[in-house]
Amino acid sequence: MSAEPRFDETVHAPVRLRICGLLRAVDGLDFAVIRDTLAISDATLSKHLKVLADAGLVTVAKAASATRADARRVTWVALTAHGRQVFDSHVAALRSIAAGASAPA
Amino acid sequence: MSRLSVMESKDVLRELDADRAALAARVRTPWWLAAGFGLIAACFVVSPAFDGNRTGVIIASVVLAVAMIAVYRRSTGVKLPGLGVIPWVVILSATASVLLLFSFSLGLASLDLHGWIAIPTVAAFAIGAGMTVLFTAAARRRMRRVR
Repeated sequence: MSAEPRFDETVHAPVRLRICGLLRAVDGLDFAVIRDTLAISDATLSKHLKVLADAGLVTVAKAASATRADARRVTWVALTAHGRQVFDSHVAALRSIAAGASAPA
Repeated sequence: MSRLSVMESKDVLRELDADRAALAARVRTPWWLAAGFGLIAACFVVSPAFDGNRTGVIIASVVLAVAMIAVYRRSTGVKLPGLGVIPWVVILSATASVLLLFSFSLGLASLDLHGWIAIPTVAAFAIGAGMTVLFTAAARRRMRRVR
């Protein structure tokens, strides 16, 4: 892990940390996949995504779905480059604490 | 700033691991994806048996591959992570193998042994399908890996 350990209060909220954790493992996820994997409601997920998007940590993009007859759209969510950096630093901080070091300021 | 205990930090990291494992479990390899890439490889290798336009086969293969990847993304709701070393090795090995089989087919066609081209064609199908399974398995392993 090359990221500098650094806590981020926006990412640290449990649901937001888990959202970022999922997004860090892929190039993008459908809104419904995040909701189902974390077993949270649409409203809760929307609220946290808005916080993350406002902080420039994620992007939310809607795409037309050819597989859905009701014309619903697929909402793709992805970490930004800045979001990956912030998340990696936050995880590095968690790891340093887990390893027994004091929490970085 | 937040203060976490060692145990709390370990719990959070474990939860991240569990979420990623649950996500990776969603990313199965559908039969049609493996069969589709197997079909693309087979069509390429069998093409010397026919005197048709080989460029048309290649263009159709590219279109089919792009369409299958798009449908796969929509059906799983996951855009697989960027390629690591292992998926590249899988893809390059499969491509080299299919090109080798294609050269066999050309040789068989030049000897007017068109019926025998079925053998490298079946092998190409197996390689295309197998590559797809290995590629998605490597992507799943990559998703589980904690960064």
